[in-house]
Amino acid sequence: MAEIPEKLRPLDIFLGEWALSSESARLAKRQQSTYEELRGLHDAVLPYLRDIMACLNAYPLYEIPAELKPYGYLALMLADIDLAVNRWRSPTIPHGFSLNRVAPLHEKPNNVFGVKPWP
Amino acid sequence: MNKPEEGLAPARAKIPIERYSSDAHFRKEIEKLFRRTWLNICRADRIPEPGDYIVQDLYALDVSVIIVRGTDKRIRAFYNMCPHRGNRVAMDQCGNRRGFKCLFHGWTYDLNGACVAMPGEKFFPGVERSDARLVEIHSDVWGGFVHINLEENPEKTLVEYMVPQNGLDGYLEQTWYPNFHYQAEVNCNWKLMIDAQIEFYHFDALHEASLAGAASVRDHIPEVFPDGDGIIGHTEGYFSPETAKHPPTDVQMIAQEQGNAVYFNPLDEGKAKQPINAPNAIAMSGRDDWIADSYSLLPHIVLLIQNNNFVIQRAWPVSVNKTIWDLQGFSFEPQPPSNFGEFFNLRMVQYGQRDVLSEDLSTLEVTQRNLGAGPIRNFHFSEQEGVLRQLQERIESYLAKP
Ligand code: FES
Ligand SMILES: [Fe+2]
Repeated sequence: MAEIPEKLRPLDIFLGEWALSSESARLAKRQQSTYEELRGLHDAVLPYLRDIMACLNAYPLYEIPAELKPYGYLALMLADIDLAVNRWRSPTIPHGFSLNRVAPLHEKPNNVFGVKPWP
Repeated sequence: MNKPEEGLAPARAKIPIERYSSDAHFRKEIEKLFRRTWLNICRADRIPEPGDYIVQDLYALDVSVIIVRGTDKRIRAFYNMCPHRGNRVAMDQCGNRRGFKCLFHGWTYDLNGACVAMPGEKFFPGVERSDARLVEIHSDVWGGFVHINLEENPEKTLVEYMVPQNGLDGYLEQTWYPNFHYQAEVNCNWKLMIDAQIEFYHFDALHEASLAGAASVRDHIPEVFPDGDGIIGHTEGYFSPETAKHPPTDVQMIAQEQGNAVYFNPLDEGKAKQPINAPNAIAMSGRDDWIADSYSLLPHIVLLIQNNNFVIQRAWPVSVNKTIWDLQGFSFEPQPPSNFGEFFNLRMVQYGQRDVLSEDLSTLEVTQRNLGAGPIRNFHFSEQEGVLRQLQERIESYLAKP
């Protein structure tokens, strides 16, 4: 069991709802949320983003302990919503081609393009 | 030979809309262009070991292709069609096989396409094993990409076709890490999809909320290759700190500390110069403020090259008004990402492309549904849209062939 660093503890309240392990799940969550909800999450997690990197970077990518992975998923949620929050100020892209119609083929374990997913 | 697309004759700037909406024109494009040119399919290093294969559907061409590496390490392409009664011999999209066994009646082929098993062979008098081979398709590798040509005797070799090479071959040949792959079915003509990606003129309007002002529109006079063949032309984009509307986000600034993909900070002069990490970089102009290069390759390829990464978009025609959009992203370094920070940096590139390209796709379906409206019969292509113009010329020259 890896020790969870104290400085990440304030993020624990967000893990249940927002630490989603796949891009599809994160994107769906983004599109089901309001701008205010996304902004709230963004502003709450941003101050800890460098701490998350520092803690997770102590391990090789594929050896990050299971207890720490949710913080990584939370960071990836921030990556997923970044432009929605800071550019479009909307969970979906106004007049954009719906991302529900864009299939992330790289998510399949044996995908034709040969992308290695994490975790 | 290479010249900037300046001073277009007005007549050359008008494109009949019918080319995007006529079914007859579409069929001609499929038969005279797609069936006769080299088609970019996949990376050669996607199938490194003997028996590694991928399957690619060619949609409007009614062809499924197997690309496989043989025991002699050579890459071969075959019609994914059993000579017995036409079933596909590879049902999965990729994998590793010692050979291909047709699941209908069990005819079996080795990696060279030779038929090695034919159950009940004695009931096929007159059918020789040599008649029962998988049919091979011409294939070759350029810039690290496997290409195929469906012609029985291609007019040009792949190297002759990819003229002018323009340094692109060496750049693409390097080892690139496969980063992401998206696909969508879009109800538009395949050329509308390509047109939307090979000019930067749309930057300030369509990408108003995301990228506006980041690249100076004044500078985007494309370079076209009227005497070339497979390489139509390209447009370089240059960072414009005076006009950039959107400083990098906080998350982008943190991401760029972690890996090689970087974002500009217009407020920070030093950051405005992007180092080009990939050796053999092809910022042709050599300008410090280079940020992107968009290449059009005949028939259906768009390469969007940025620092340390590129995406390839394939616009696979399905019908006159339906196209499969296939987007693959590559990064140069790190390969593969070694820690979470590098992984995060790559995901930021990926999600940024995904979201911004959905702005690019946004005009296509409504435009297609306007094409039959009537009063407007021509599109107008400016000098900044010169690559679109050159693509039209090249397509028409193929359609005019006997
Ligand atoms: S169709 Fe393939 S064995 Fe009959
Ligand atoms: Fe665009």
